[in-house]
Amino acid sequence: MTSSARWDADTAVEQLYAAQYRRLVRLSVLLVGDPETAEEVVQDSFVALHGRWRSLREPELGLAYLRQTVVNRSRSVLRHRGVQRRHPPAPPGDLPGADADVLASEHRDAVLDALRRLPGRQREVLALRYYLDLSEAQIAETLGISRGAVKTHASRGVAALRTLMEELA
Amino acid sequence: MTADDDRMHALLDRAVAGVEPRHGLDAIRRRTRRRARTGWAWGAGGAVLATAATIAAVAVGGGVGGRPAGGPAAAPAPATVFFVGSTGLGDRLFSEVHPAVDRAAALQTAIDGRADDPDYRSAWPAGTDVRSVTTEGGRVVVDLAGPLPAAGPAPATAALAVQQLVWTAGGPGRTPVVVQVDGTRVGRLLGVPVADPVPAQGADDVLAPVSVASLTDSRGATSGALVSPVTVRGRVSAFEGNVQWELVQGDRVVRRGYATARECCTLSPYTFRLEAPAGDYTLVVHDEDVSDGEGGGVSQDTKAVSLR
Repeated sequence: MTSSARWDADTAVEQLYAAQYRRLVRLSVLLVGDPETAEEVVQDSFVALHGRWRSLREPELGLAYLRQTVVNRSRSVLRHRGVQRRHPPAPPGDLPGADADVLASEHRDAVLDALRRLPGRQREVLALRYYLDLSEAQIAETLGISRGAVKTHASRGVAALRTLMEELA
Repeated sequence: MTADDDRMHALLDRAVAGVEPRHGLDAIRRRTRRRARTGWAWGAGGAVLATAATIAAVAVGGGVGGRPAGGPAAAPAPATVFFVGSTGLGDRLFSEVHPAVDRAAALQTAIDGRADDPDYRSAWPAGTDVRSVTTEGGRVVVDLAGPLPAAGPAPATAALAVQQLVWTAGGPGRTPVVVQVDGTRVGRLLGVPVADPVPAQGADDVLAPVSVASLTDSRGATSGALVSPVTVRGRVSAFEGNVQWELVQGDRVVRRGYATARECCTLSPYTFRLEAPAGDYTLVVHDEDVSDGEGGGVSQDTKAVSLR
């Protein structure tokens, strides 16, 4: 992410898409549980980035904005689902590009299912911390919560997933 | 890195390692192109920021209908005055609380478009004079001086002009307004039927979906140079009730955050705290555009903020 001094909004979208799209979709899958919704969330976020680029201008700020938007919109989708139907969404179907590896698919379903049962903040903190490798400070900024709260959510989330973690990882 | 950390990494990485998204760039480009054509609030960029208002005389507890209730109608009280501004949904009403003046003067301020925020204006043709605003039998009677300017605005603007009048003169009780010209009831005002008392249209239909009502600093001051932290209050009607904000200095975003209103999808209060080093800033509060580029785009309200 260099030589970005004068990216226009279109270039910013293209560059950040090339560098980050897959990773952000995967992040959103961890949050919302299914890849189709995740792709929608991330595309929405890139459209929003395009509109906001004038106020961002820096790739780092653009990426931070994308992360925050993906997390917020993923949360919105879950809330919306919660309003529409009080039962949890159906288990994810076949993921695009997933091979027939039964073990991988079981692992994926087990992890996504466990994440879905966590309180939203814990799920978000775990995904940002352990999938995106963000620092506590970055997570705090992304979620608009204190670093102390990040620590608390992380340790509770890890504790909740401990059994699964010891079985699978 | 602890063993737990390693295992959590492995757990999450493996869970999504098989996810290969379909190509999405073309879909994104189609939507950003459409948006560029329909106009975009941020497109005005520097212009919007350059004209942001200096917050002045914003009453505590302001917001929609922020005029204190009670007391005789004639007693001058801080008046909530409604102006017109651009939003992602088209032109809508924005409110400002103006210092104690009588209701005719408040309405004249609205009609003349004498807003503190230079982004606001009036939908009224220039040269419309208010003779009086009185209360009679539970109705507010507005008497304008004739003849009204011959060249009226377009119908949509005229309807908004009439609502500017009704929201300003009707007060916090949203009292229907009887319209007179030179002391006589009229059938139409700027082409809008007003033979019957005119009710205030619903807030969600006529007010801006995002607005900043007040900034209150740590000492309780609401205008001039403010002392950090500052509490920002306003109203938003947005998907999930979220507003985003940026504190901007020149080209630089100094702080950013978001706030969630009490209720989603109808005008509802939000509040957030602003903390930043001393300096002159522009605060931009906006909704997220969830219309997928098919609607008008983002709605925002901008205010100049001096911190010391």
